[in-house]
Amino acid sequence: MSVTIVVPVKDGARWLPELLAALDRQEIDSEVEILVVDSGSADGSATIARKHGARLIEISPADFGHGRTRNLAAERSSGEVIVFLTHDAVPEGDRWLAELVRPLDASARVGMSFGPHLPRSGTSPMIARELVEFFAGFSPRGETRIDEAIDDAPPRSGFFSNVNSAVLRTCWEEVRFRDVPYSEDQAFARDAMAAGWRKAYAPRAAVVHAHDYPFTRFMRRYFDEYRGLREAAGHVATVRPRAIARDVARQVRSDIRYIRAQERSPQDRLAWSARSLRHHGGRALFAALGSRADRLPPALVRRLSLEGTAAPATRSPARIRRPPERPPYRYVRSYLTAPQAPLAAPSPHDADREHLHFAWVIPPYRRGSGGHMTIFTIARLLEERGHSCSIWVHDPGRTSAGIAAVAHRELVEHFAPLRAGVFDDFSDWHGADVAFATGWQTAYPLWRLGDCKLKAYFVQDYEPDFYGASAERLWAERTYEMGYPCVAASRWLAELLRDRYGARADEFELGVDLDTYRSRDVPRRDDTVVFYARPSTPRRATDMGFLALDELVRRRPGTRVVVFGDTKKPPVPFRHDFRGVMDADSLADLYNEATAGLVISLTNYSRMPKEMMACGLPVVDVRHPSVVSAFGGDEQVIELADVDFMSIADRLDALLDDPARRGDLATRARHFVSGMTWDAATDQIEGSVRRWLVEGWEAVRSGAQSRSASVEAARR
Amino acid sequence: MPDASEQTQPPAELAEPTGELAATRAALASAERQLAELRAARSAEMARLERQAYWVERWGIDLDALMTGPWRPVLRAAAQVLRLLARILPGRR
Repeated sequence: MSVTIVVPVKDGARWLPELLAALDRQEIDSEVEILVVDSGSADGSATIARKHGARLIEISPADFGHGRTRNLAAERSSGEVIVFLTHDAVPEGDRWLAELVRPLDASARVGMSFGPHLPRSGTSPMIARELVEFFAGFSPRGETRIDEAIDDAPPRSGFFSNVNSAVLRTCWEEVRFRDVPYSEDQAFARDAMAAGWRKAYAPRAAVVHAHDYPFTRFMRRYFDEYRGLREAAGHVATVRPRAIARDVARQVRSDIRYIRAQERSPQDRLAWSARSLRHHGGRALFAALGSRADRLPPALVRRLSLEGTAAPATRSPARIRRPPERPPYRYVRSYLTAPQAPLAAPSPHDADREHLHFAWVIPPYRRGSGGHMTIFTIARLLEERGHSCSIWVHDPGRTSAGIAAVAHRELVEHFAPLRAGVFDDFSDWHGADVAFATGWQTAYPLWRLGDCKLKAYFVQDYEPDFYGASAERLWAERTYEMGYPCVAASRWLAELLRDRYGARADEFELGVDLDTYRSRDVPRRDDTVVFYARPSTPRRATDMGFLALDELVRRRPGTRVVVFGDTKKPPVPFRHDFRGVMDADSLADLYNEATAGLVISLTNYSRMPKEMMACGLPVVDVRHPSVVSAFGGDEQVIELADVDFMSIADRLDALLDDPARRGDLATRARHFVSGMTWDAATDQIEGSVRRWLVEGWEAVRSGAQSRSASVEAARR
Repeated sequence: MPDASEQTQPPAELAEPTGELAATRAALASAERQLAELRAARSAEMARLERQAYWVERWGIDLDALMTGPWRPVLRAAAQVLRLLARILPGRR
């Protein structure tokens, strides 16, 4: 098998000549390519690599990322095996490469291997001792070890280190490194093992590598390391004093034994013992902090982190609370057993008062929720028009953060910079000119809330279809008969509410933020399909999309699939690039780069296709009546597939084959969405609200008139 | 019996408000405007308090419990030092 050895370098002149010389000495019967990726060294590392005859890729320091750069190197290389070293890891002996590569076997799904790190002479005893013991734990008898399942108990079978590793190209192509600030190797091993690959430990493929740093630098490295472990594997270091004390004492005792075995003076031994105590105690502290970096102020994280980054790359899995099996539905009783709290008396100025107060009763939210994004976008625009808003979270199951201040911060940071406060307790209710229910569950608490001029229903999906035959389905349907005037997020939905439930329903058109979603200076590829996949939202039919993409990749193996929209990487069998929940700017870049977009909507069309269209990206959606109603059934601006994975795959396949069709679709679609702004949507909603307020006054007025006429008649 | 045209004729005071009715309506409009302003202020105040309380709530710190416990003098002193630093450090409010 041909081999590419990748060495990312930044100011590595101190070790690079020794490393490259050691590579030259390797005895292996394979074609070997050495690829050095230099990210802005100022010490002549690039010159050393070039002189040595290594292939050199130079990137700017800003473009470096542990995962990103290794993916780049793998893309630019040709070896069937890709070996990763760091610039300060020098292979030990001339059989290192042969030993490292030997366990790899595509047919047995052994896709990655790693070897031990040996301490350099002069390394601190606590580092040297730990390194030796740690790697010895993987294979006490010195045999090659193969792991296929992850077990975090020592020796950790999920451990993998790009200081000294080898990966089969087929394995890398299937999994790729995540673009994370650190611990990309741990994340890769977990992803690969989750995809069915096995991992080998090659005990005879050692490199000499040990980091000996000043104390504070060590501690900041630990901070980053444990922060990475938390993000990649959910590992959280303990803060229990007794457990920490026990662990520190055990480590220090081991160090003292190790130091005793060396020929050192008594003073030297004493000094190293004290340093050992400081080292392990400090590590416990920084490990605990690193594991909890997402709860620390960003400024403090930047100070503690050697990488200097404050934002976590992904949401830490351990913070996501598991929702209860079923939310308590006692609040439904309020509608079934008690009369509606009366509306506040209308007055003649209700509709033409310049500034109104809108109360939004919303379900709990999670980052990435398109429905909440729409609500908060409208609320923000109402605030910009001088209205005020308040946000009322109805969370009977306490599935969200459960704390108003935390919910408020998440809203402002991940959705929209609202001035409104977030309330999580209806006992604080202070009335509103207009109170909106925004999901079927919220229509029930609104029933009992008083002091409103108008109660209305902001309907974005046909929510009974979220459920099979169930109490939830019936209760969701019943909300359309509660008498709230509805403002529905499509003509189809408004007609459905009117025709099936006799509801008073207006419609509004979902908007597009055309300042963000527009043509950008990003080259468009001809092999990339992006898929909005949100397994946590069943109406998105994510599994159908995955089947379609699996079929597409089977037909067109070179297709690049990018999956986004949810926090967890989906376990799918085809190679894909997982982007998680993306911010609007990154999404716009992605839409400009991609070839086709796939969105599936089964309960109303979503905002996503319009955002893709605004970026010139041809879209495939399914032939759902709401989609046909929004975009027309003649496929002038969108490709409509049957609600079937094979049909979706056919449409995508045909689209990828036909650049002219893609161009036509993109041009027409961009024109189609050009006037669909959120301002226009807010106009429609505000117009409905003002009309309903007028109608409220008119009803009272005409009632008063007829009462007055009756009294007059009686008098005569 | 009144004829149909008489029945649909609005009472004079409801058709075009004048005098006392107009004044009452103006007062009502003003009161409702004030009410909307109060609601807006309450919501904005809530948002301000939420911004201030974020880290305390995020970390689950019960300041009441802390300030009534044995550490109270130490915490008070630490808080005073922090406030002093916050006041004198450049660029801080």
